[in-house]
Amino acid sequence: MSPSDADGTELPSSPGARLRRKREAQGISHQQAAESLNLDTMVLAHLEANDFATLGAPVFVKGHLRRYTTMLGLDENEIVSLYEHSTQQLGEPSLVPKSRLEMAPVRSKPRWPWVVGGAAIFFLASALVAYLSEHGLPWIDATPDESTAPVLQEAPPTTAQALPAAASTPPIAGPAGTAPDATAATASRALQSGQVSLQLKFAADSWVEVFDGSGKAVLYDLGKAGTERTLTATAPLSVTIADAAAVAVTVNGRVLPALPRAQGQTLARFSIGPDGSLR
Amino acid sequence: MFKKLRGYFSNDLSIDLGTANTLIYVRGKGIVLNEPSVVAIREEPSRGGKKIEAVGTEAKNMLGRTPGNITAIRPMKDGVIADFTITEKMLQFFIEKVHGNRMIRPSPRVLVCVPYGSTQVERRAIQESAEGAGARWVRLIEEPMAAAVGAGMPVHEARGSMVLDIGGGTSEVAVISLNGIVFAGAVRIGGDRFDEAIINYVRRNYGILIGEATSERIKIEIGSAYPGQHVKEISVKGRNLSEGVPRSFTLNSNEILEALQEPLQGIVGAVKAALEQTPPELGSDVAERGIVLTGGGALLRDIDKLLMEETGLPVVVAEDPLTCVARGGGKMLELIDEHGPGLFGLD
Repeated sequence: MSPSDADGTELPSSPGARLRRKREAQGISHQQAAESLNLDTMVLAHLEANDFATLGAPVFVKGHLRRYTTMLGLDENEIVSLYEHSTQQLGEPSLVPKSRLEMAPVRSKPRWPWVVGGAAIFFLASALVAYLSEHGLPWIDATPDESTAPVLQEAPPTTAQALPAAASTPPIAGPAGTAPDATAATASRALQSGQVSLQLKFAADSWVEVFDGSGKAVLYDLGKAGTERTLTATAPLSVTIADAAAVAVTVNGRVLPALPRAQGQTLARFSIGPDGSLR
Repeated sequence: MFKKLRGYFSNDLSIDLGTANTLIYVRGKGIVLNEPSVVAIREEPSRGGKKIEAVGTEAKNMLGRTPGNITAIRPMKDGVIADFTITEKMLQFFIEKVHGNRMIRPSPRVLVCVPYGSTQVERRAIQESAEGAGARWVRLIEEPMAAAVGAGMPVHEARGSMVLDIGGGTSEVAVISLNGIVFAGAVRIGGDRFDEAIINYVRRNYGILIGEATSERIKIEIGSAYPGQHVKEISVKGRNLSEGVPRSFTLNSNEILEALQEPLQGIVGAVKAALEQTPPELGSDVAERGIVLTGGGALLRDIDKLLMEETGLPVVVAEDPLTCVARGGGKMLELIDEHGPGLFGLD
């Protein structure tokens, strides 16, 4: 039940209505009240209409209510309490500009770079796995790769023909008349460290075996007369040639003068070190 | 590195390092400390130095009542540091008091409010003092800005908001718009000057000497800034200068009003000067909504009425004006965490 006035009439429950009623009872005009409070008549009208939002912030609403209440001789705490319990009560200002509120989430949590970056990394990883499962690890494979091409180009000119052991290499088309020593030096530089380039030319049929440093058989075959085998493998190479007289051996572009073989035998068995020297 | 580690065990603080009182606002807890900025020091020549005897309320009770070997001093004067070492010790005491008796020494993030008119040297002294007291992160914010935020003014709007913060040592008036100070002015007049004016008035008119504490009590009980309908009286005791013995006498509120005229006119003059310097658009906003008073000086009776009469503008007193600066600093600390220091033009 609402409290009653001195004459027994019920008091309004809103602060604005109660102030207006008191002002009218005292015979004070809007204009007079506004002048004594140094306020615009519009501000006073908003206060009496309980339209507090136009006053900006609670500090102004409560301040003006207190001043107005004191001027009219009412209890300021009662009127402020009515305001605090009214539905028109204002909240505290946020102090953050509205445009900044809109910008803030975009600036603070940019997620799209993570999504795009994650997807790119996933596809790259998938592609790499697919390639490796198809081709294996290229740096472990002992078969000659494209890095041997310059070495082969430095080799002495030969008749162009298909070579089974160097099928994947490009055709030999080295320049004619290159000095052997110069080619040897260039070949050594072009080769990876620890690797030796070996070229075998067969004048007659001969069995030949070449094992690399890890004991893997690099060549284990019968060389036909008139053919040529070129290979690159990790030193030291262990070489066995059944008919040493019928095979001309070139190591790192340098032709070996004579192959070491036992007295009265055609078989030659020797090793080639990392620097291309015989052992 | 150790400061950072200790920071995990510390709270974020907003400190209103005032001339009269120091207030500390702890994030999430509110105002947890409100003590006078007074330190009592005991001289100990035998042990080769000085020792802090008391800080805060306990030290204030000693003001004017100390023996020769104890000095009760205010390390802040006119809103800035007057004694660097003592201020540092006082801050350290307050920060540790706020954190309670913990094993690990606190190392909080601290926002300290400084007067608008303070120089770079004075600001540097406050910053280093806070760092020396154990703070791991210190930012300084101008008092009028913190006062306006603490009072709940809509400072982010593109509208002029005028705040007058009457502290113990300084009074600052500022016009704020879009979270920045457009114009501000400061005068070194505050509650301390009111007390001095009362002491001088009593000595001049009664030939009696009263102390600072008595003067402050007179100001709080019967002080007013505008003639009221009711005249209040207070009975006080002081030393009669001609007889040299304590005497009791009675003062009334009209006498105190007369005594306070000079410092009050200084504050009114600062407000008028600020209104003259305010851009017209913002000035009209202030005329519509009014000036907001904060700080302990806003509690002086009818000071809002005086300013209304002198300026012709509406004037309102903020709720709990004494704690506005510290509360505003705390709110700003939270907003800086959420939106970055750029919101208030800090680096």
